[in-house]
Amino acid sequence: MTATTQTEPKIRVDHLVKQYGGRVVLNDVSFDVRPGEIVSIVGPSGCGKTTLLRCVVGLMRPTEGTVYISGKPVSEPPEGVAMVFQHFGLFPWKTVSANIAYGLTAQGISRKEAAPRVSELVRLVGLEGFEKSYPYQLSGGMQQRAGLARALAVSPGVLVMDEPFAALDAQTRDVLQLELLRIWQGLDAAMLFVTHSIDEAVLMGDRVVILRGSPSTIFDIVDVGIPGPRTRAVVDSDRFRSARDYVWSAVMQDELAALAKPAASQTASLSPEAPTQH
Amino acid sequence: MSADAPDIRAEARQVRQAGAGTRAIPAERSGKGRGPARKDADSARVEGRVSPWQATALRVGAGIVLLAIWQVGAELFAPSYIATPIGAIGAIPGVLGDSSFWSSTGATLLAIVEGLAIAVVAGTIIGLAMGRLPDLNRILGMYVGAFYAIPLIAIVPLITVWFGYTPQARLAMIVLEAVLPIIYNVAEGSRQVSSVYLDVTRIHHVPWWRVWGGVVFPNATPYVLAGIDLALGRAVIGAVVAEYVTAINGLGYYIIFNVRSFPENQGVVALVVIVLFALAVRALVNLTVARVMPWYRPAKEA
Amino acid sequence: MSAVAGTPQRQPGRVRVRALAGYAFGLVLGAVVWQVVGYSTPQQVFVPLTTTLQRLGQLISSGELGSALWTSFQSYLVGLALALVVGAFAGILLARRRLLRVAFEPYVIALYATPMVGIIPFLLALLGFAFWPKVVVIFLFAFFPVLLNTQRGAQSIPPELLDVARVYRTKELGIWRHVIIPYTLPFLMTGVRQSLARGLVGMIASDFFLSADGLGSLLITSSERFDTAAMLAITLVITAIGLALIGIGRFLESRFARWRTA
Repeated sequence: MTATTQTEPKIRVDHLVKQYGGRVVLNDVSFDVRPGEIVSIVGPSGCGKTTLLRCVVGLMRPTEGTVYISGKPVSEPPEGVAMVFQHFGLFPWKTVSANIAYGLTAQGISRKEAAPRVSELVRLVGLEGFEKSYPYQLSGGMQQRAGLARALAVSPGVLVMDEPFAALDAQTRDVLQLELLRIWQGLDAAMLFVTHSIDEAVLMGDRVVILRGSPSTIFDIVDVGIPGPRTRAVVDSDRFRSARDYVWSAVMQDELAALAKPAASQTASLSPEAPTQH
Repeated sequence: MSADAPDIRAEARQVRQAGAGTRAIPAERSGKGRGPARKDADSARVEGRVSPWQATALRVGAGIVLLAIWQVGAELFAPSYIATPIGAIGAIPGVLGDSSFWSSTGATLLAIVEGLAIAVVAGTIIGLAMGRLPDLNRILGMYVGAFYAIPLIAIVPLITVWFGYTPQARLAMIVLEAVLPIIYNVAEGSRQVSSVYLDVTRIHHVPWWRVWGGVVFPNATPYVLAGIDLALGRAVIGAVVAEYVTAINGLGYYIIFNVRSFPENQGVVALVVIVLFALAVRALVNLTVARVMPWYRPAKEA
Repeated sequence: MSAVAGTPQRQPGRVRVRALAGYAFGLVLGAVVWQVVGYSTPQQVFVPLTTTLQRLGQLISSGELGSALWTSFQSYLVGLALALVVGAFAGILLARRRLLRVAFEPYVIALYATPMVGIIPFLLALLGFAFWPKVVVIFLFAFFPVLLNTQRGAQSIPPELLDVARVYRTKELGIWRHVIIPYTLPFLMTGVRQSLARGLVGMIASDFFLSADGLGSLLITSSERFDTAAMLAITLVITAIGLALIGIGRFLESRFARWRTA
């Protein structure tokens, strides 16, 4: 194994193919994520974004192709990888602290040993005062903060986000997006961010992977090209808008094509080429 | 209800939700090994779907294993009069040809039907009254609850004191067992008539008997059916228990007689008949409901 | 409910008083009916409440009731404990092993639907009059609710939680400790609640048929001696036990379901 250098990608997806139920869901997907980089993955609903993510973290094995994390092939969830889940994934019977500590306690570290790290993270995500609360007592946004804290507790080299803000209301989502970007400044990891929101993908990502088709393939990888820390103001910049428009038309192309078909034929309500992803 | 019977309430809910299903049990109905909905059928632990053929093969296999354990265990460790699967199957023709078996079966089934009928009528009336009259609900509710708490088998000796060792004792037991879930469910059903319906009747000045017949009763019907479903199982138990204790002519007595005088296999056949009967009637009820009341949908949990 | 528009809501205080009055009235009414029926029927058929309570006192002071309770409860507790352990284990096993579940599910359902009371004569013939046959009967009564509820719980674990455990590289034992058992516990408690009641039925039934010195047997011997007062007294005791078990069951169920609120 060669030692990883600064230019060595943290995550490498190499010609990944995933098939199940007799259907090819992902076909020949390849991309890299470099250390310190955020890569967004976006695509129409049901295009296999989550499947791709699960293959990357080792929850699923690809039919063909390999995922490498820090140069090593992935077959089981490897060390140094943490994930934030769409529906938060907090254990309802554990307190917020116990949940945040979980990544550590699952490895045999005692609650006492983990306590300082937990308090540090509680402060970082802004959950002071709720250490002993239970998930059902928290709002969605707060639960996801806890989910994020749990992921950060293991000091991951790779952070994987599975539509983390999709289950939240719009305002909470906006707040947490910026919170995440702020927290990100102090980290040295690679982040893979899956979302179905195009705006979010362009806001969060240094690069955006566009998945499309049936089976899904990479249509393009867009370099958003906005240097420096992202803030709310970024949304108004020309660079952002042009990137977003490009991604938007790329993702929506098939849907738009279906809508644009002439209304002459009454029965053709669905274009036969429209991607029918379950 | 002041004295709650949470067990029966949960059961009743499950029965109502099972709706047109043939059984009401707190577990999955389909035996296909349906796990929690998985977004991906593939995971590190390979868990594919089990095909219907595989499922049948597995079940038959499991059944053979169980019966084999029973058979071998009985031959090796138990006295020769113990029932065995082979013996029980062999006893079937004899039992079916035995006229005393059929007269016993008839007696028991008749008693169950009779008892259920009484229980349904009485239970529905009492339940409706309790449901709509909160005062009555409080007064009677605690006694219904108390009867729920006690294993009714403990009442059998008292029943024999009052009715003697007669078919009336068995009938009383059946009625008692069956009437409780009906009262409970009907009360709950008639209590929960949606106020929207009642508002409609008030606006249109609908006479009270129309309200009862046209709104309260149809609303309560799913609950009545849930009650009947439970009552059926309990009625069978009541009949069997009463017959075990009173030794009057019936399937229960048939079982005891055969077991005590050692041809146990006959007893096993009779027991199986009882269970099959209960299941068959339940299925029949569900079928009838589906035909006669197509609008019936299982009530949702509040 | 007044039909007159604009009538203010009944004050909550008044509703409560009326409710309490209803319960009190119900109790008093029951007691009065008991007395009246007791006095107006022959002693063999029914006795007044006062006589019943007197007889109950006698049974307690003579120690008959105490020893009968003790004998019955020994088998009850053992049978119940076995049912809980075996049932919980089997439930989780069936939930985690698809093949086993598919194979055995119809038999489990069939046995659950079988009135266990029916099996008692066979057990009597096989095992005779003793402690262990009673335990077996109680076990059979109490086993299935535990099995089915635990299975249902273990099977309904949200896949996301299992994903979380796997992503953070939890070992098999850790998955049990951190996910499966905590999630399944409330379901187990529902099963326990149902088992407590069913086990009681099994206890009385086994007393009737398999024993000479339990609570149920005391009931039978009283009936043979035409001691109706004693029968009623024992029935009261059993009712009280039944109600207590329901209370315990509900307490356990809600205590362990706390995190399921909202």
